[in-house]
Amino acid sequence: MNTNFYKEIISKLELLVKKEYFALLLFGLFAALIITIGTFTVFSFIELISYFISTIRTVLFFVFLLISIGAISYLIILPLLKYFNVIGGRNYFYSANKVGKYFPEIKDDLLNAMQLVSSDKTKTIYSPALLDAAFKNVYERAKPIKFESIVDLSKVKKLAKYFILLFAFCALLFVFVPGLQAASNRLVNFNQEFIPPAKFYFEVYPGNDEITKGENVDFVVVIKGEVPKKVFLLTREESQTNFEEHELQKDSLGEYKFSIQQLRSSLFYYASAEDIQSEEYQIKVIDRPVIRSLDVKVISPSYSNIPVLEQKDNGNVSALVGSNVEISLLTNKELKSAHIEFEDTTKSELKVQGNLVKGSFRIRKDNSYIIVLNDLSDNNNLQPVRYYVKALYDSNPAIELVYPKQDVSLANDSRVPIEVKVNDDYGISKLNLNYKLTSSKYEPVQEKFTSIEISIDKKIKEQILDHIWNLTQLNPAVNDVYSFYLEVFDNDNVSGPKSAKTQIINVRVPSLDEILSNADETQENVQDEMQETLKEAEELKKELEKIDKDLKQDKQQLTWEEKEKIEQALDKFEKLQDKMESASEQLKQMQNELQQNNLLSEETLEKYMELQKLMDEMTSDEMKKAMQKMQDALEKMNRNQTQDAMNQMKMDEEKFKKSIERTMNLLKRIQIEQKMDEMIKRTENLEQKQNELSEQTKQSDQNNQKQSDELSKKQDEISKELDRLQEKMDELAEKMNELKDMPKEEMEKLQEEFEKQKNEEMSEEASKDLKQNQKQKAQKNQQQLSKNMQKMKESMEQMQQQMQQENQMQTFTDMMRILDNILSLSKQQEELKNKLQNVDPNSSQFEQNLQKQNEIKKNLNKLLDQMSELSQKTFAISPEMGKALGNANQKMNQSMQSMQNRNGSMATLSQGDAMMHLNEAANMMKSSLESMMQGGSGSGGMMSLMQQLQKMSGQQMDLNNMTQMLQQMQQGQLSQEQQGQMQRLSQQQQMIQKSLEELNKEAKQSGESKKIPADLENIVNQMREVVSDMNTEKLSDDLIQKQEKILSKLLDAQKSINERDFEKERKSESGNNFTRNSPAELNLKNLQSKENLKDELNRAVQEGYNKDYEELIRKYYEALQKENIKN
Amino acid sequence: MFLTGHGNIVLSTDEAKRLKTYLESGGFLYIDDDYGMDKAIRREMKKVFPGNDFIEVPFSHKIFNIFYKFENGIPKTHEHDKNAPQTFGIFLGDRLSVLYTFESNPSDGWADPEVHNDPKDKREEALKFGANIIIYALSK
Repeated sequence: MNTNFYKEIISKLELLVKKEYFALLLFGLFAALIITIGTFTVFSFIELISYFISTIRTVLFFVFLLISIGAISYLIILPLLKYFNVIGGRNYFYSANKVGKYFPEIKDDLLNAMQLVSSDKTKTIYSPALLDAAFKNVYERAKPIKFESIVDLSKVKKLAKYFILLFAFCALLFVFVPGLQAASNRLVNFNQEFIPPAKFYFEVYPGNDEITKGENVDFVVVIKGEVPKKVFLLTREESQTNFEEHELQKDSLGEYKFSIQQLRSSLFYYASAEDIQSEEYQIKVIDRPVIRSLDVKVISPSYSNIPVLEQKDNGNVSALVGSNVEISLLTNKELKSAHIEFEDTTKSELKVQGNLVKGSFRIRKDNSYIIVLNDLSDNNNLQPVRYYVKALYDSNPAIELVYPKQDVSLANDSRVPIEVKVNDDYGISKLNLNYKLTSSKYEPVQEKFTSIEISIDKKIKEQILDHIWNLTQLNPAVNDVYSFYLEVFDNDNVSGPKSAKTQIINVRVPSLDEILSNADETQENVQDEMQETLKEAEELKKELEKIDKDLKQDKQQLTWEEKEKIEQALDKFEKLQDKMESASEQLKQMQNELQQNNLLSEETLEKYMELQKLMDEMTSDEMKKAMQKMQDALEKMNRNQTQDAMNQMKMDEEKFKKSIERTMNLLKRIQIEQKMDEMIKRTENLEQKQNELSEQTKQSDQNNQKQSDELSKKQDEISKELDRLQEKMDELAEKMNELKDMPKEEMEKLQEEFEKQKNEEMSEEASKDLKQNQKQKAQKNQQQLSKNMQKMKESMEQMQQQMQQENQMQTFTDMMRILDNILSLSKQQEELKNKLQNVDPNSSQFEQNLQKQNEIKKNLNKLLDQMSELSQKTFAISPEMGKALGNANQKMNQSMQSMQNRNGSMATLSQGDAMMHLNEAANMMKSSLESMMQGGSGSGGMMSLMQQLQKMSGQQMDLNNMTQMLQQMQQGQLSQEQQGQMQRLSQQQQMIQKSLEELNKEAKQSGESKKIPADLENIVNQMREVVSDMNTEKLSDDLIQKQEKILSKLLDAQKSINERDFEKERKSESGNNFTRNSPAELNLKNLQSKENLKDELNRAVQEGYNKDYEELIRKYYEALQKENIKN
Repeated sequence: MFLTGHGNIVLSTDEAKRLKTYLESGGFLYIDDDYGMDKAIRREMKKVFPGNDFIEVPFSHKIFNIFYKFENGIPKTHEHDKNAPQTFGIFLGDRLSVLYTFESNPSDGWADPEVHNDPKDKREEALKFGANIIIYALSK
């Protein structure tokens, strides 16, 4: 037998067996590991849960060991031994059988072959060659087959997977299960005793810490683990021996808290619960320096007059820039050093004396600071409070020019009244008036402003000042323009005085021509307006008549169309009244200007004033009441009431129309008088100019061509003015022609004379002579011209006077006649009344008396016409007279009606009333005549008062000018001569004062003083002051200003008489109702709570809380303020 | 206390202090602008109550209905600048201690008829509002 084949097969089978045992080994390895790891893990868990004593752990360990060893032995070692054929032996037949089963191509052939080959019995039966051949056959089939491939390792792989999984799992368990590692450690170290872990542990805050003495400490204990029933905090101060126990309560967060207020010495502490304690900690108390009290003094700059502010325990400062802040504080211990540290990191050292610290700093801007203290142990104060410095800045002063607000013309007195309002937050140091000549025909303009200081009360921060700027010294010529503005300076001497200026106002010197041309223009405009108004009034009258006619229709209610028409008519009437008011205002202004420049005679002025009164009556309250009555009736839509109101309105409208007509006619007359004043003024002016020029010519140097040319130029101007004078004379003559009873012939004569004089040619010749340096020839003409002007002026004055006298006489005569007629009518009426008394109703006398009454009435109407005609020429006829006669007329109508009804008693009653009204009119007429005889048209008393005031004003003006001249001459002290002059001026002032006292006394006695709005007594007192100052020889700017104020008040007194400011009723206009939404509901609680909080906080700060609280309070307050600002 | 006028009013520090004491102690001040006082009033009252502002009083407040009903707020008695009439107040707590009427001028309606020649209904209205003020001031 070929044994090689058999050996090969055996070796193949051996491989198979080895592989089988290898698989088994692997399987056993993984299984053993699984068992070991699993057992170990389980036992660790058991230990974790149970925390066994050493004995039990030992048992456990050994059990584990046993199991492990058992597993290893059975699963690893046994297969290993088998692998190495140490035990078990080999059963190749079994393996061959397995192979045969696995490989179908072999089946049991291999087994059979092997059995055949290895059996001794078969060796005897079969031939060896046959056996070899049979074995070889099987061998040949088995040779390519790898027998070991039948070994299935899938189970091993599977188990390996399980092992990996288990291993990972167990690893995770050991990593993440708390205590498992320790448990396994205990298991392994089975013979060691381990202390079981506590149920819980403490987290204690703040642990070890350092605080400043007196601070509060908050302890917090957090329990980790099983929460014990009670938790304690044990504390022991350094000086104590035993711990003090404090039971703690759990709060909502599960924390245990405890506080110690104002800890003064170091403290040891720990937490404890059941038998478990925390670590012991220490709170170290450091005695840091602390501010006990703080005194702050804020000293504001002296100019601000702010009193020194002292604050306690509050370093926040709000003060003016430049203020000095003095700090003084006391600390709890002695210090080494201290300083202030500002926000901008600058420092300021403080003086230290033991525990007292002092220092100061100046406020220059907004800042904040802390006070840093350093004690002898080099401890600083912790978290010093930051104080805030609010720098307040001195604002600029403010100035407002109250008057004048726009360019003005210089009045004849060369004074400009100025009213200015100044204010500053801390005070004013100076007020200047700056002026310069900006335009002139004769002088070069000034480039720079000249400054005059105006006296001002520096103590008052807000004031309104009146100042009279007197330009007399500047000798302003016609058409010169001076520009001025005011500048105020505050008293800031830290950053330097700041100033504010007003706008620039121009003061122009108007020429006579200009003023008069403006007056002419105004009067022309007013007349045109009145003409237009009259036309519109006529149209309105027609409208009203139509409406009245419609109203008389028999309807119950007023229709909407009718209402609208009436309202439109009312509106138109109101507008007409407004137009008249505007015209009146224009005339008033014109009159003022003429008067200020002394261009109106007293008589003309008086007439303008009367005209004003007339025009005011056109818009009287009576008319307003009537219109309101109409409005009320319209609102109620009541036809009857509306009709009544319409009747009244018609009457009012008629009255209004007639007033316009009268005003226009009177204005024409007054204008003529004003023109006459103008002529007189022009000639006076020309005479004056010519005289001045003659004087200048006399003193001029003939050889000075420049001078001669200048004089010639001035003479040319005179020529122009002469031409204008002629023009104005022609205009006047034209105006006179429009009216009757004007001295037309005298005017013609004057014109003729003027032409005859050839003044213009004479002036032109003089001018030529001047240019040619023919002084004497020129002077001759100049002198003649002066004489002519003087003569012309006198002639005009004469003509004016004559005209006034004649007019007055005529008026007087006419009034006398009317009065006579009224008295006659009254007598006739009385007789008639007497006749009618006790007459039988059936008597025929009624018819006779009726006729008689009708005659009386007709005569009365004629009288009314006469009066109306007269009223167009004179103010002496008042509207009240017309009203009285109108009432008499009405009563006569009533009596006639009663007589028609044969009602004797009613008739006599009406006749009695008629008589009464006639007598009323007669009395008024009589009073008016008496006033005329006294020399006025009814306002004689006031005129005389005004004349006197005018005279006094003139005297005061001269006195003021002289005083100012004396002041200019003064150099330091007054010389003897100047003192004498001063005395004389004082005496003059005293004289004016006495005159004014007399005037005031007279006015009071006559009852006129109530009508003067100016307080004459006040002016008298001021004059006394001035006299007193002058007697003490105090010639200061103050004195000059006082005199100017006196003059201003005297002028104001005259002006206000002109303007009839007195007896003016308060103007008020009833309001129209408004419908609107209510404002939002109040939220007082919110407002109040904020206010309360603020107050509380302020109080808290003042009460001196702990520094921490103060800081907190301050921050909260700031947040509150920010919220308020946001809201 | 009743304050009215036109133009300027100035309170010294002392006066402001005394007024404050009076109002805080339960006093009542009625201010009626008549007219042109608005700026001055607001300025001067700041001296008295620096922390308080004038608040517009809503129509639901007692001052408008304590006796007579004013559903549309304060009546307009006189015309000033053709603006709607307004009522302002300074409150101390919930108490109206300062009442200030503006662009309405009811106090002119309290004068004799011939002073301002206002229609009867305007004067009556003004007097009624005056009655409300008195009743409110004395009952609060």
